[in-house]
Amino acid sequence: MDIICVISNIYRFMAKNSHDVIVIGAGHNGLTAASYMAKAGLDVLVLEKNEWIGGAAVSRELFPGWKYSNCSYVCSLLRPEIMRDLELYKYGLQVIPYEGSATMMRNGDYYAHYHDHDMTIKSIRRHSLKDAEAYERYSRDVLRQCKIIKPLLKMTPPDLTSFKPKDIFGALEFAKYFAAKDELGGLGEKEIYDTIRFYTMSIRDYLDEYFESDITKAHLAGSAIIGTALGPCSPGSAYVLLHHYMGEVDGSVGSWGYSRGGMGSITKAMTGCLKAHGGDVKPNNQVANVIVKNGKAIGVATTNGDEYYAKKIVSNLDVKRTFLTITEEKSLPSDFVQKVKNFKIRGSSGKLNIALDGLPDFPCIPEGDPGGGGDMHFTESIEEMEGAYDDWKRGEWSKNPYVDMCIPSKSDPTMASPGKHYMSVFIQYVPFNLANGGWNEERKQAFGKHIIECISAFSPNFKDLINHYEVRTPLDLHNEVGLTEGNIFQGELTMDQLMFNRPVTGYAQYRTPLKNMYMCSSSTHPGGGVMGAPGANAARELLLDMNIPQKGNYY
Amino acid sequence: MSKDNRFIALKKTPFHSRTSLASRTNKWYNWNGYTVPTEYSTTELEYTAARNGTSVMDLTPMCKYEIKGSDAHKYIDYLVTRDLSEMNDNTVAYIIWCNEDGKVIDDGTIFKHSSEHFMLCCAVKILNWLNDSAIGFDVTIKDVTDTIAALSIQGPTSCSTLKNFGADSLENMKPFEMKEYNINGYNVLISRTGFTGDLGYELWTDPQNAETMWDSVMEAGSLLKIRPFGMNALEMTRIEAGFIQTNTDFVAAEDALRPVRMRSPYEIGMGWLVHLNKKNYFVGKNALKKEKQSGTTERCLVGLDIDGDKPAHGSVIYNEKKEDIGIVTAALWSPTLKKNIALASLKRPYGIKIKDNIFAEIYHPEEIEYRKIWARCKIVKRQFYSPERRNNVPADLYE
Amino acid sequence: MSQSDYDVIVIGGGHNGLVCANILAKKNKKVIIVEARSTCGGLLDDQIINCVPNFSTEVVNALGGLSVKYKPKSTIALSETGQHIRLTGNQHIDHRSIATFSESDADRYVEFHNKMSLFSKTLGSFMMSSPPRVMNHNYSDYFKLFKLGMNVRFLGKKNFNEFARMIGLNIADELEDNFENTLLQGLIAHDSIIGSNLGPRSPGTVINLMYRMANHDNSIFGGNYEIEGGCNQLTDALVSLAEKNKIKIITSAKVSKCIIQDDRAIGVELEDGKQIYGKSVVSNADPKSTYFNLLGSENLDTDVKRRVKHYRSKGRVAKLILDLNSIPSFNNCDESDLESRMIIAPSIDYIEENYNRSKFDKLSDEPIIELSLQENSEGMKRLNVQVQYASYKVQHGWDEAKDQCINSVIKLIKKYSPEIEKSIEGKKFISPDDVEIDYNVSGGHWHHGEIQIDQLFMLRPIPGASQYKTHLDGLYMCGAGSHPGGGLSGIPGKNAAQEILKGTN
Repeated sequence: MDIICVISNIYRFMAKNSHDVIVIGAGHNGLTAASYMAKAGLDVLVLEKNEWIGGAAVSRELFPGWKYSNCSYVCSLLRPEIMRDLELYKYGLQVIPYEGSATMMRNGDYYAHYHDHDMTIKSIRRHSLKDAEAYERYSRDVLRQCKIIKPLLKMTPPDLTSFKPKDIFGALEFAKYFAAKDELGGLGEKEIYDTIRFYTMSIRDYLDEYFESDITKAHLAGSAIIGTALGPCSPGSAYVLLHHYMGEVDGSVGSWGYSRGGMGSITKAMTGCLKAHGGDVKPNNQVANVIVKNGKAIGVATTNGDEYYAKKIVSNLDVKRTFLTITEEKSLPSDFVQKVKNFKIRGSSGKLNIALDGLPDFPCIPEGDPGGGGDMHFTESIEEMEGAYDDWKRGEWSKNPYVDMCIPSKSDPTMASPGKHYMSVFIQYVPFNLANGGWNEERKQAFGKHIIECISAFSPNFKDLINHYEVRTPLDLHNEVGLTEGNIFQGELTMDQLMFNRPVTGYAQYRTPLKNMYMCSSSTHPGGGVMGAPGANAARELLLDMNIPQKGNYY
Repeated sequence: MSKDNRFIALKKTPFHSRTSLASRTNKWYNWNGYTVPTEYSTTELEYTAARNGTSVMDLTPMCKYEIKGSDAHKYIDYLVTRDLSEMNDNTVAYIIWCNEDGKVIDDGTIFKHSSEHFMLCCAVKILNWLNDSAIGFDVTIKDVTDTIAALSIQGPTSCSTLKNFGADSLENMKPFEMKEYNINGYNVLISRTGFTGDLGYELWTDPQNAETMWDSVMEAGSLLKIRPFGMNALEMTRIEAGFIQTNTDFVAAEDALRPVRMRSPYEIGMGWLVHLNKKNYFVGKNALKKEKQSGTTERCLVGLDIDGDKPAHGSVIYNEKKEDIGIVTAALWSPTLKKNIALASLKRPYGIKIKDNIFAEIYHPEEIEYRKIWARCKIVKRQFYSPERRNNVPADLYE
Repeated sequence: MSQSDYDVIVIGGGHNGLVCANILAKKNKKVIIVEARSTCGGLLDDQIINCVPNFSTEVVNALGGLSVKYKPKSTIALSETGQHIRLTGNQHIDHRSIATFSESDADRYVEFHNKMSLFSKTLGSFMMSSPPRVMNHNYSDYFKLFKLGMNVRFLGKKNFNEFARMIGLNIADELEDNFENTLLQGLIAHDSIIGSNLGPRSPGTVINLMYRMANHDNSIFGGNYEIEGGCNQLTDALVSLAEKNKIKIITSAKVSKCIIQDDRAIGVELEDGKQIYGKSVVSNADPKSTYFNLLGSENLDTDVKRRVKHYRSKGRVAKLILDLNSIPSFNNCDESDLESRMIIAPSIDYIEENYNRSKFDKLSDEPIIELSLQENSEGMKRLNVQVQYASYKVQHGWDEAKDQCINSVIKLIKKYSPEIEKSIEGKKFISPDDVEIDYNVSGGHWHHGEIQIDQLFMLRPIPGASQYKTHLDGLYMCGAGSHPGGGLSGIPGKNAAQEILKGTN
């Protein structure tokens, strides 16, 4: 009698908290995966530890009257097919393209790129005639690489060690891709060699093959170091550049934009899509551990003491948190755990979010110049950039940092009331493990002040306009958002951690050693950035395993 | 509020004050980062001026490079496919140049002042290419696009116009010759060259003389049916003359994103400019030799005489089995020839061995709706129009 | 066509040129070697080289035997505290040696060594022939690519995955994951950055180490040898073999250019105007000199010139030779220690800081050095010092920087050998700029070009010329600028000879 009672109680409990799929973490990839699965007819529940939804793609009002995109801040990589499939426009997503970008110089001059190609060329010509022409060839070569990589983003990397027909065909598909007539009409031998070189070179060496002036190189190299623990001299940094270029805003490859209403609009729209298809998101539900039975993941337990059961569990946490924090080590193969421990996930970036009373003057950039409408920098040479990286290697924040600052409220009327401005300052490099004792409140504020001083050197009235600012160190990202060590890509984008090596060789197919458990985070192929591709790819693999037909432009 | 020039993408040419005054349509075009008139009055009137009187076109946006140094002659001979080792001073030559795979980068004209001083004039920017090619040669290369103002004076009365302007005994200049004049107190270089396939000259001078030169030329031609001439009319005359245009009839190899879009000289009808047996090596020689020997040329550029009178812009070309065999790169209803002509890039053997039963699929706009026309094409010589006066020496004069 | 005096003309009598010439001559080719300097050997010179790997059996067999006595050289990482680490390449000895510091490091070292050794063998298996070209529509190339893939596949699932991961990895991460002793970390990191322009934290340094191991008996610290009687013994052996093979060698004869007829190399012209004709020409010079000087930039396509121009070959090593009047004593070192490669690179961070300075051509105050004690012909002791990260065209120029470099090196040695300064009788300094001039190597790079992943295998020296053929018919390359690169292995010379034989038979 008692036993029956217990069993029936468990049964009732399970039925109440039982779903087809549970997604751990409501970041953009988790929501993308959840939305695709919900659209395919599954009952999906997303559990989020924070009281807000969105992971690192959020808009938060931390100071009354100002919205902060306080983690990720610009949008370009988000795959248009995903936007189309999930009908994100319906739920409020609009992307506003950048007007330009500029690097300010200590001598009072500036270097700018614009949305209009002719203006960019004219601007580069001011600094170097040769560079202006080289820029055309450079753009072609990088665009070619973008076209090569684009279809690869949507592919599930094959397991090259497996002899299963699916993987062998997958590998052949990968190889064939390079040889076959494709969007580019087939690559020649030369283009293949160029591709190999591009993936293995440092951005310094790569840019040296095109440009002569320091300022051109410095402006372009920025994209190769943002978010990565590599310097411009490190081999592999050229690929990181591509990772930032392969996005598009309405078919204009490599261009960037703001998400109207801040980056939270992306995850808000995804949540809208998810809910419209019967899924749900529960904030304030931190998963404490994955419940494993007989080598199968059957559910999760939250720190609130609740248990949720599902046929499939999908983790949007980075691979380290997924397998070292919420999964018991004993349920995993030891060499897998070792590989996860070896996974490189170093924080290298910090951020300042600033509420401004007005538009700061940047005397270097003439008033009205659209070059100031997008990202602004003040690193004048690769050498300076590499010096900033050297500081990071020593465990210090860069004394002369590379910053990527932008004022989204210049283009987006929803971020602050008219005349007021929100400024986002991304800082490269900031270590997770600060030397000599790590981060504390005092050092965090010192770091914030240092950055404000750096910016003030280029803007005399900047300090006076500050109403409020938020300092974000890698430690904050680690603790609050849940990005291990504060790495914005959930794992470095180095050759050893890309494609079929991401996150762990042999497990690059979104599946894990635990049956019924999947990964959909940026720790998986094709990697970080607000791209959504890992989420969509993971959903595809999961649906494939459940024999559920998939529809959509993405597949 | 005054507008800072820096925020305006397109530059103005040194003739801008005159061209904007002459423009009655205010229609403009982006040519190599400069703003120039698409047409001044109407395209047909301007076209007729080039075949009837004198047409005047602002050529400044053409890419111009000055090549100087003791190896300049050797360098030019190395750069281009044509044998220029015997090129004389004060002459001009039409040239093409290729990359290592023997794919055409651009065509252009080379002006020889002396064996140590040349000027290259072409359609696409190639400073990088010129510099990288110059490794190992004692030459310096300067982009002089901004520092040389140029006018193209074309048409049957152009020689008379320029004689009135002050170019003495110009009628004795042979095609592809040039001469330095001092007219009205400034230097102007006059070459017998052009892009209309008719009698014509090009004038090159310092930008500070541009406005006066424009005024004097217009004055000199006032009784000789002179008229400013825009980009649209140029497109008409160049198709009639069968001249090719980079990035229209083929993609410059340095710009091509897709390797399959690159073309060898043999594929665009420029085989006559490739001199494989010239004494010194030239860029692309190995590849071109191989192509010639193995006969692997894949395409050809031909002239088409198309039935009907609807221009075949962008048409796909088919054989009788309706298999796609190529595309039209430029098309025109020729007002002079009264023919429906086009340039087309075809897959060999079509256009070379197979010349019959070739059709163009033309979509002709008729009040919002497009009508599909299936028109038979005849393969003809690409040079549709070439009047005798083009090469007459002395040139025709109207006195 | 002019009459050919020889079947093959070899430009440059470096060790690769000599190996190549000998193999060709053994196949009954009439060969001449034209050497610019007064003697053969090139960079295989006691002034430059501290120690060498031995020639692999493949090379020795192709030469038909070579009698040179190699003496193994162990490696010692000097520590300021006197807690040196001594490694020989013998696993048991090395294990014991490391275990005195850390048992776990010792165990891990053996594991690490075995793993690296397995991978280096896999890499090594591709070194003995020319690299395949992709998309060349040639079945032997496809077969080679396929075999390459299969070799890696047959490492087994676990190793394959590990190999794939390690190719792009940086050595610092790998060492920090494995070892706790910083001196050991520094020592291994030191051997991982040789020949490249990378620091221990730069991706690609693991493959560098594997690559080096493939030339050093697949061992990290084994496979280092001293040639008894000095490096010239090897040169002499190769030269006398050449005499036996009836190869004509002319020295002090600098080739000014290749003679080209009908787009084919038919001979060479010397600086004095003398012309020598041959059916094929092989250049042992570095790729930049071969292309720009011998072949001539007026005979090259622009795209090729671009690639050659961007081939990175800036030297990174300077040499300081100290003549000593007595055997120096180093703290806590016995006599056998003095016969080792003595390395001062106490930690990864130390190396990385040096690299940070060198990236933009600055000198370090505390350099990384490798010491080797030798005896010169007069029986005098000589301390050979290799200074890592000493850039070609250093900031402010070597004329100015030279003394600074010498002083910082001596200051550094004094920490380990306080009395050294008293015994110094003479100093000679060789900067990369000097190497460029004295040894005719553009950039003064010992390996004729950086060993880095984008300059290896089918990309070495430049795409399209990786199979020992240059862009000119009849002109080949056999130097360290070709696959598999430098390191005194003789393999480029051997592979080139085989490629030439393929082309002429």
